[in-house]
Amino acid sequence: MEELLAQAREYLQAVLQRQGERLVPLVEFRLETGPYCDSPRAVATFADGRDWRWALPLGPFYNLDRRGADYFCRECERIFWRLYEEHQIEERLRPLRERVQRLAQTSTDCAVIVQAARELDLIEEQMRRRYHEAPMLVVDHGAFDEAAFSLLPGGVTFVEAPGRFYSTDWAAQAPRTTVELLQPPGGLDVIPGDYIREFRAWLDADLLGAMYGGQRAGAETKAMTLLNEWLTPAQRDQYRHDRSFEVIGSASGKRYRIRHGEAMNVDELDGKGRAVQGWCFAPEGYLAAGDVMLAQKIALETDERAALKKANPFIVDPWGGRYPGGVSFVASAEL
Amino acid sequence: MATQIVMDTSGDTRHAFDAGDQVALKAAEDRFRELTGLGFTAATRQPDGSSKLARKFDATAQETLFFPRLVGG
Repeated sequence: MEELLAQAREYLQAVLQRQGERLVPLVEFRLETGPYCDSPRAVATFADGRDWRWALPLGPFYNLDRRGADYFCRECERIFWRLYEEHQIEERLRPLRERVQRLAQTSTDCAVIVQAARELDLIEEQMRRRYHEAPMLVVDHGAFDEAAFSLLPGGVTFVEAPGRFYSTDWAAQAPRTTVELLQPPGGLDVIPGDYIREFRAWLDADLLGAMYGGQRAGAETKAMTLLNEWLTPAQRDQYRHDRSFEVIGSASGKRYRIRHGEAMNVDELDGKGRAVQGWCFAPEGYLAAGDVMLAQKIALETDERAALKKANPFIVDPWGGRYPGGVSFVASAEL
Repeated sequence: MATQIVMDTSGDTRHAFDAGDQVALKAAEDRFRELTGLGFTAATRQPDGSSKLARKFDATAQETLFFPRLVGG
């Protein structure tokens, strides 16, 4: 694990440096325990004191399957694009700041100085708000693979601005709406596609290769074998069909669908088989997905109440989104 | 041979023992107590494929599975 983190840290640092000295150097790259669903978060700390965090929502890092690892890698990449955007923001604000400073040094009208400072604050606030509300990515034309980002929660809608920046917006927002991004300063308007391709090659060759060459791959296989042994024939057929199976709660007789995964993967179903409520619980420790699913199955089939007492509810929406909380979108819509 | 299967980060660890061997049986019972004492849940598989919680050591169980304490995510 340390080796993988060191590789990621080294690579991010190298890429950032190659983008120009003005980009803030990376100081540390680590994992920490996340606040939700026990998922760890990757954290990149930069020399200006800022931390960038992103959760690994598919379960503990040690148990990431191919899909989860891919997600992690794309998120590694995304942090770089975010930094790049941050850099753009700073670049654009700098001349404005200098203008306000000059005004403060030369003007004797306090009201004008205060007004200028307020306007600067507003501009910065507006830029950062848009930046945070609609996470954006900056890539050059033709070098970006949409499929890679299909793994992000809710998906990503791409917004075209040919020849300049590409940005993304969450799918929940208006589709294919042009977002006016920052005007690129000279020389930094396009990230060379070579960087992206090189990064992807490194991810595939080194990081993923390392992750699947060791014990974890063996754990996944063993856990899936064990799960397969313990599923009923009907559940085995269901799992083969769509990587999920249903169980009946021992106390309530309710149906639950356990989807392949390690967290946020148990859905309570209504009479029509629709997910009306999600339940997140798992055995302690970093177990492989097969083990987690088997423990969930046994818990629900033998002691449903105890399992749900431990579980945290989450919302399942009709489009497959899953959010912290205890009220189901479907259930609410029917009330 | 009966088997005790303990979930862990390697997938699982299996302990096979001869239920007719009193020494091995005692070791299996001790393992059962130790694991359940640590918060593990024990379950046995029924002939129809369903599972059943094992609150006490069952010397006749062919396969007993132990998984760690459940926690909310």
